[in-house]
Amino acid sequence: MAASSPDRGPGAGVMVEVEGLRLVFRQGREETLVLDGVSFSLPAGESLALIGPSGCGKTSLLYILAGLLTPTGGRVAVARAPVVRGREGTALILQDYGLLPWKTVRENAALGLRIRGRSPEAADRVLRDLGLWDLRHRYPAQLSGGQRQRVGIARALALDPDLLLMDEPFSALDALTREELQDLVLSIWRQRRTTLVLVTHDIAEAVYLGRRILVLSSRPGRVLAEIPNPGAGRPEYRREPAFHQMVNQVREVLARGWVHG
Amino acid sequence: MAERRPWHYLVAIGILAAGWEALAIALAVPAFPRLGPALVALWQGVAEGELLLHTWVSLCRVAYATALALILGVPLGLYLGRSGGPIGSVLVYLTHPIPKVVFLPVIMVVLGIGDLSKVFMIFLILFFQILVTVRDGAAAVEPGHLIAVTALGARGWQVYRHVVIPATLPRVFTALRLSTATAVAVLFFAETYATTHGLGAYVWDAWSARDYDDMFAGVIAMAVLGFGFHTAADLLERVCCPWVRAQVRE
Repeated sequence: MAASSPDRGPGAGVMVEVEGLRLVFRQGREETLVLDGVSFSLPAGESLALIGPSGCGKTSLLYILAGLLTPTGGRVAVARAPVVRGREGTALILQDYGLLPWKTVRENAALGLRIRGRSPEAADRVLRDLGLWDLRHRYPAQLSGGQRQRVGIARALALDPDLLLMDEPFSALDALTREELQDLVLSIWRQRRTTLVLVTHDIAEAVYLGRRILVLSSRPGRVLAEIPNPGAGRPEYRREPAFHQMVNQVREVLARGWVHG
Repeated sequence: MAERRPWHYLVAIGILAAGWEALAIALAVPAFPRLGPALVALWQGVAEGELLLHTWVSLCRVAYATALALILGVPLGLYLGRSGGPIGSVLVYLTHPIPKVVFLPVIMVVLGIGDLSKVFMIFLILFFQILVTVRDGAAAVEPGHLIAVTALGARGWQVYRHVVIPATLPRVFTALRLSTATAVAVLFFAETYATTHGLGAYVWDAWSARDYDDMFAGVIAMAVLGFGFHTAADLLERVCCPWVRAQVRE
């Protein structure tokens, strides 16, 4: 595999490097500019929240990092290598439909391992860790929304990823379940120091989980601001005044972008 | 759909029997016998073993035709639904409406007038029903499910194995239920030439002899045969698609 050239290549500790990213959707003769000149870099073990109005291309950006979409222009590297679909260390957690209705909890959790031809044992371990072992024979239709997303997380963790991508993972859940799962993601991040990229439209979620917050403008998505948020990464943060100040700050940046973007 | 219980069957059969009797009394023609004589003829046919033999012959023909239609129709339907272009669709739309019966002379010349041509005739009609149903099912696979397995690194055959095939499987059973009923109806046509066996031949012979009691005994046997296939498809679906019936149980 060709490494990026040494003079422009990312540093040793960089997990995600995005430079001048452009994405154009073509439908017939119509061209839509979705992402325009997006650049950022994320050190390994850090967490980044991508937030912006709907249609700003944040999900597309995440799909590009997962190798599911090919950018029209710019450079994207994950772990110093060009992005490939189904990269061994990348795991994606989706909002809906992530679980296959015809597979039990246990089969869903082991799916990534099975596709990669690895032993499904690691999935059983993660199911036990996440308190899902007793539900292992159930189908997704027999689970609550929170339990389903737990299984989605279990499937991602079974791959022992170094990069965890999440696409609005908790937006369909009620507030209590959402906070419970945010705490779960936080504790996973604290234990494993997995690099985390979270797409969300929930400002509080971005501030709670993202130690960096990348605010995107409405279409075409451009970087409005990259806000350092060093307070994030601790469970107590949610109850501190600094958290609420940060929420307000992000809200203002979003509002300004909405008007001028 | 609610679970079917034995008394549901009894009520349904009762409604059918009452309707039959009412119609027979109202029409009062020899060509439509009362239920009693038809059942007596059915009982005699079964007791003598003759009707059982005809039913068995028909059952085998339908089973072979259905198996062949599944073996060819399911993979081709999956392919057309996922990767078949517009040409494939147009081909199907053009060939599906053609009454397959018009090919009977050709089939008889090529395959002879024996069992093979009868099975092929039934197969031809079932094949299109299964092909179209499976193709539509494969085309309607939830994009999110495809994204999920693609992100996990699945490609080619793995995408079919983990998503396309299981997502389409319940539709295969729907197609199977529809087409076994059609198959039994087609029997009557396919078994009216060059055979002395099969329910179609039995009904045809009784009709020619104006033995309407026997004729309707054959009709009842056809209904039972179709019902048997339907039930078999249901049972098979239960085994193959357990998630379809999985409900929330707290």
